[in-house]
Amino acid sequence: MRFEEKLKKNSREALWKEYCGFLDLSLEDYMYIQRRLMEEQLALWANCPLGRTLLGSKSPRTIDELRAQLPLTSYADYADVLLPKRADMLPGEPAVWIQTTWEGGLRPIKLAPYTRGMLDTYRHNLIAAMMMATARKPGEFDLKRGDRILYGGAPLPYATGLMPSLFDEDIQFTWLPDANTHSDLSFSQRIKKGFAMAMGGGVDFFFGIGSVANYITESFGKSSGGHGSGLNISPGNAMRYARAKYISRRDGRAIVPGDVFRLKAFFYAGTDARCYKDRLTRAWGVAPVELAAGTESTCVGAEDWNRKGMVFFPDACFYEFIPEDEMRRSREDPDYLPRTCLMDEIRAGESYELVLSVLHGGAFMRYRIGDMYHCVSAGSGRLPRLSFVDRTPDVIDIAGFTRITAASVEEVIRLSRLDLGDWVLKKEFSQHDDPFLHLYLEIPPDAQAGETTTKSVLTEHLSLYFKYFDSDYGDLKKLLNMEPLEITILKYGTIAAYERQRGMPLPRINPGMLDLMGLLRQQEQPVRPEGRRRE
Amino acid sequence: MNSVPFLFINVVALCCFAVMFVTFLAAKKTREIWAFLAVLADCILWVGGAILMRMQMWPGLGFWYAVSLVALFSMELLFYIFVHVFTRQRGKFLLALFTLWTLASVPGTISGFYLPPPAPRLLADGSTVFIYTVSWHIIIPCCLFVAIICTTTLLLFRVMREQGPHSPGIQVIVIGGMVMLAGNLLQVTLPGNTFPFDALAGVVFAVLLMYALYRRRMFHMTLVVSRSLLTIALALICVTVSSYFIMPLKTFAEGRLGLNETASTTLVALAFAALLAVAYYLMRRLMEAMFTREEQQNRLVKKFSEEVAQSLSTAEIMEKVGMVIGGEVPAEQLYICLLENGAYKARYCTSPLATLSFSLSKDSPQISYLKEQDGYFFLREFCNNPRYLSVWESEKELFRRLNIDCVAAMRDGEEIVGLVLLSAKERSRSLNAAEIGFLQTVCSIASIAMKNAALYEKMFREARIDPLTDVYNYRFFVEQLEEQFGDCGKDCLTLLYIDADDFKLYNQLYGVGEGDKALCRIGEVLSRCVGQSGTVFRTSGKVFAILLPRQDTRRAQNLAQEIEQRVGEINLTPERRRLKPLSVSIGICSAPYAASSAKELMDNADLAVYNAKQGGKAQVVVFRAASELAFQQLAERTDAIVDRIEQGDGEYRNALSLISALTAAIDAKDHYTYAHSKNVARYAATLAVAAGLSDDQVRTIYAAGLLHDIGKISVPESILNKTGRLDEGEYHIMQDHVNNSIEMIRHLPEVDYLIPAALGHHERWDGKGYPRGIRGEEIPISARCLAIADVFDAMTTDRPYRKGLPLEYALDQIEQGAGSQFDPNMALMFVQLVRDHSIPVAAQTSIRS
Repeated sequence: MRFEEKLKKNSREALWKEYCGFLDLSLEDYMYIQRRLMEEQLALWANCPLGRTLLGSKSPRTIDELRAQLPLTSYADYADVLLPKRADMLPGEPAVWIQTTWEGGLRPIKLAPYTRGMLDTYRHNLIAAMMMATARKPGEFDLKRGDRILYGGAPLPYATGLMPSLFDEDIQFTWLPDANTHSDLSFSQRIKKGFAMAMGGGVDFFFGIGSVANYITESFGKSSGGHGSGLNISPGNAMRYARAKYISRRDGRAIVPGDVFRLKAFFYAGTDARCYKDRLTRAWGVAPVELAAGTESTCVGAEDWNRKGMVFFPDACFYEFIPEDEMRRSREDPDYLPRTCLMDEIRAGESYELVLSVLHGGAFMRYRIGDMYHCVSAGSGRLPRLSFVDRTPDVIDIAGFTRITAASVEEVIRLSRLDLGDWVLKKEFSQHDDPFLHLYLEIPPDAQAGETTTKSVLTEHLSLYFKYFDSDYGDLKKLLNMEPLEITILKYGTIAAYERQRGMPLPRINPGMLDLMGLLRQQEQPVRPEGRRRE
Repeated sequence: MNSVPFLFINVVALCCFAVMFVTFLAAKKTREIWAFLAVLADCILWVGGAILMRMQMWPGLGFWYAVSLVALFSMELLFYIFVHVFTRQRGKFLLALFTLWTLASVPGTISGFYLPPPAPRLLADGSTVFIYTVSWHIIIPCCLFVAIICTTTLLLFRVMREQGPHSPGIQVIVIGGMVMLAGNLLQVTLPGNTFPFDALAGVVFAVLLMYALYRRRMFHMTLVVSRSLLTIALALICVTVSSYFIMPLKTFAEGRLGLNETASTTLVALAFAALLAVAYYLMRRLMEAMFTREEQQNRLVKKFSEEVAQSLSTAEIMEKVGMVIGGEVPAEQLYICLLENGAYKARYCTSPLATLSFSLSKDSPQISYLKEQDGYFFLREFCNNPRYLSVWESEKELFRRLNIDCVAAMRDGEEIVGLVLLSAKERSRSLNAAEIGFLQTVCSIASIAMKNAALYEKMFREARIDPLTDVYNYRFFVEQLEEQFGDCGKDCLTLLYIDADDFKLYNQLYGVGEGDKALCRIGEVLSRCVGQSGTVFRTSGKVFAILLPRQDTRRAQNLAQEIEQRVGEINLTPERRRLKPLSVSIGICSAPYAASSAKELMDNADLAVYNAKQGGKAQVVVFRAASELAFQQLAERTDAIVDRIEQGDGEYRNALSLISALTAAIDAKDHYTYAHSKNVARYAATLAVAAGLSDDQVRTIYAAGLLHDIGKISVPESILNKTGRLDEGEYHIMQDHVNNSIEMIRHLPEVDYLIPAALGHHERWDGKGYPRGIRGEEIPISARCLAIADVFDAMTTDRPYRKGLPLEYALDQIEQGAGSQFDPNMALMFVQLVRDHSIPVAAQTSIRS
């Protein structure tokens, strides 16, 4: 039965129980679901060619044996099977292949197979997320056929493009814009089109990654003066718009979307979404709901009406968590096998790297997805609440658009042909909470005189090659009007001197804040020019 | 207006309320039932008070008026309480507020402050009307009513929003409330009205509330309403309705239609009859819906219960469960799964073409959910439970494929021992309470019967199955042989003996464990080869038997060759390359061609397998009956047969050397015994030929005759040659020669097939012989031949302690011993053959005669 028929025939109590009943589960019952589904997945995966290849001579029969025998995996372990779409080697028949970029990978893209069971679970969990987001208390959700959704996600074959198709299987929403009829439009055109449609008939939900949502919101205020006149809107909406204009003038500020629209819920996801939370809340009048979703994982978690961290769905993936210290150790020593915790072992106040095994015939097993989560609350037998922190430190993700690794910086510097010395790159946030890349750079002594090495020239030069190397980087400027790169020139030899003092190498990507401060302090010390010139 | 309609309707309404109240008193009390009883009690007081007031009964109009009005003013509150309880609301504030408010208004009601008691006025036609005086005070209780009614409406609206309008019973309650409100409004707003709309609405209201409870499965209709009660109530309603229409119709027929007295009476009678017919039809439908179905179900349950109680077969019980549930509960298919080794395995389906290869784990969430439910669950309800999230894709797919929508448990105490899965027939219709009750009852009865039957089958199986090879054991073989021999009658029954070759050596080489594995492999091969066409048994350590009913020797021979081949294939497996190759010798005998009794069939097949062994092993030998003797002299025929032994032909090559060695040994020890053995062998072989035994049997008997006294080698010569009577000790030593013979032969594989004959030659037909004391046909036929020959030769030859007896005397003795010492047929045949000179007697004997 489709969800919209259930809305007519079933009581709200029954629907809430069916979709959001897991919120009331004890941690023990939650883990029972996790373990049981994982048993099925283990049996499927261990017996498929992909599983046998990764397991080698081992044959784990239980989850504990699997955790002991199978090291954590990365996309490189699956690339040979997934990129050529070798369905015969997978544990389940793929219904659709979803694509994303492969940061620092061997190829430009990653592909992830979705089985029918995964899609059903994905859809079920998305509806649950919508019910949780619109509820004011348990059971009182506000969802109906025809609700209008302003959609700021990328189209298929990206994971966000699946949402409209999945919802269509269960309930008819009005998508602003309709992904099928407007598939020829570029991403920014689609956003603009969606907003124009929203202005015409109102909007109930907003889906978007945080940075895009923020950009749209800010653009709304700036461009709102010109929008209303050109649109064929109903008298009711015109009245609403006029009222919004009045309120904004009365308060002496630009018009914000919340003046015009009354959203039931506002979903955002992606890196740095947290930075925009307060701004978006002020602008839309509702607190955005955080979703945890990914190409490899489907939708794994969502916030409820309390907005106090996400609860992970028990049936999407089997979750393991690497404690932060273990994660750092394993990043420094690739041979180190980090310890993992299960959902019933994580503790409030600590951060973890997420490791997941996709259930329902998915391909990924003990897969390091590269996301860090902070455990907001846990204990007393209740389900833990988590919030997304950032990507793992070896990858810098700016606003969910670009993913930069040490290798990609090296490549950009190489392409730029600039004579540069040692460097470290750190993701930092501006006073306005906007994320940016901060490159701490040394210039070799002979290059200091020979070339133009002012900060602005270097920034221009390197940005150009960042855009060339990573097209998503270009979108930051194009879509969000962001200038993400800032350069600080260090005295030549500072990094090497600091490493000597530290007694171990300094991570080139996202070193700790203390290290960075130490580096700046080091610069003030007199050092011999023993910097490292790039080969 | 007269007061007849008022009284009539009110009395009927009062009766209805009273009947409902009394019957619901017997129902199981829940909070909802208590709330409903309160509403009914209030209705009784309200309507009863009104009637008694009208009739101005003691203690007076004022009293009954107060009773009726207090009850009426309390109705809204009680309805609110009913809705509150029915929808399981928690808040008590409004409930307490309205209760206090209602209680506070009681004094004003009783005192007539709000509405004074009506004044009766006698009309000219003798009837009484009651005149009410309304003042503004009535607004005070009206505010209370409006507040309660609004709150109830809001509550119902909220419940419908939260639980959906389709929540069981909610719509009915809403309609009931509206009917009650409409009835009371009509009552007070229609000018000059005397028809009791309020009482009529009250009845409908009460019935609808009762239906709401029924929709929530809070009681069984048949628990509160009996067939006779319903009949009386319906008859009462019919009479009331009819009485209202008879007079107006008659007036209408005479006045408007202008019919005379007779015609109008006829018309009224016809109309009344038509009304009764319609009422009867409707009543029958109602009865059928309420009672007949349940009675039918009860009958089916009773019959089912009796049938399954008598059955000790789980398959038969499952079939009956399928039939009885399929007949009463709408389902496309019905599957039964039984708990075996931690999983519920499909064992039965109402469709013979359905696949039964699926199972459901005992740890699956469906089972844990079922344990929490009342013996059954509907899949759509389970889907609403968070536990459903842990269901495997394969399990979801299974339920989707089989279209299962209801699962019922067969319990043994707390444990679920079986599942009944129903696939949906009509997706839109859910099972009603009666069908669910029936399903649960059948499952309960079936689970007990299944438990007993399964226990019996387990014991039956354990008593008949060889635990090592998982084929039937010797005990069952003996039973089946007799049974199938009888069943086949004149039809063919073939027996195969399969003997593993050199198995003793195999065990010695690789140990008993490896030997057991080999036997298991052979057992598997036999089971696979035979399939459903016969039955495989393990009759002794290394010997298997196969019974093939209604299959002739040729088919058995083909099967035997296939078995030889498949056993040979066992040796090809890599893990067996280093082991001694396995092979089997197979003997075949078919009745009635080559055996006239089960015993004979067994013996002959045994003989055939021995011959296969003798013939070099790993071969198939078919036992063949004796050929025709009509045209051949008995002695010549016997010579021809036994010559093969004497000349050591073929398979007798090895045996000959042994027999020669042993007979030479006895000759050296005791020449008499040597000569005696030769005579006995010859007599017995000739008798066997004459008796129509096969050539193989004749040769066996001949060889056994030669060796039957080989045990005498161990008897001291002093005893053998003693001229006087043997003392008891000597006699025992002499008797032991039989066992000694067996001890010697048993270690010689080439001649061990002679044991049955040698062992039994001192047994007697009447069971008084030794060493085993067996009787009749239990004694192998070879031993029976030897016994006669042995006694005849012993009597007719000279012994150390006496001279040989006359031939005729010896024959007389044998005749006398027929039926006691000897097989009567064989004994008489032997005597006849000697007298006819068909059996040539030994030289010493013939001289004496």
